[in-house]
Amino acid sequence: MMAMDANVAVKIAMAAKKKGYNVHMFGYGEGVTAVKKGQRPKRFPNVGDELEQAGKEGVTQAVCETCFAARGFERGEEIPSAKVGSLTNDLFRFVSESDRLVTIAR
Amino acid sequence: MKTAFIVLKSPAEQDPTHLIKRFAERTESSVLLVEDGVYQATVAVAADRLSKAAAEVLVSKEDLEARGYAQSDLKIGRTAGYDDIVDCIMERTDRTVTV
Repeated sequence: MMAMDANVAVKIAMAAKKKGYNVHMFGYGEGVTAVKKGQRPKRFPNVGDELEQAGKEGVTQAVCETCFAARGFERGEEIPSAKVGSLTNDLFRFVSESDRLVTIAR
Repeated sequence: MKTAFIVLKSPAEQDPTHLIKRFAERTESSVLLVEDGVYQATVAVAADRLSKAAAEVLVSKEDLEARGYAQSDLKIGRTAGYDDIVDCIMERTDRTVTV
């Protein structure tokens, strides 16, 4: 997922969760910005808050550490529901555990 | 293989049908239009292209209405909630491709 596409990713994830599916979300590239703590958008949905709520409802979340660091973020700047992880450990595990892979990116 | 194609871009940005036709037969293709992808169903030329590439077209109701359109404005397909979109991804198709 990337940038504003994160909102769509959360909507699909939550709809799947409500239907009883186990859902993992992984952010890479600009998608890592979705888990930045302290977002305060004025005119559109707060995807950070939505992801935190999704985490409370059992949606697993991780982002690429390299992408996170590349944008100047430090560990601890992520929302509590998200893990700063890696493509090799987290994304590969998510894919191997899943029946479907849905990519939201432009 | 039954395939769900997620389209995020408007026809001004992209014609998704070239790729759709290369991945799957029309009868095995479902298209999910979200974000600016909903314009693919409101513009006649784009809708006509989609009709030749996919047997099913679902348009995100939320994203369509956010842009001031309704089911009656669609030239192809039907509106769907995200729950229906999930059903298409998980139950009616075998793989998902984002165009």
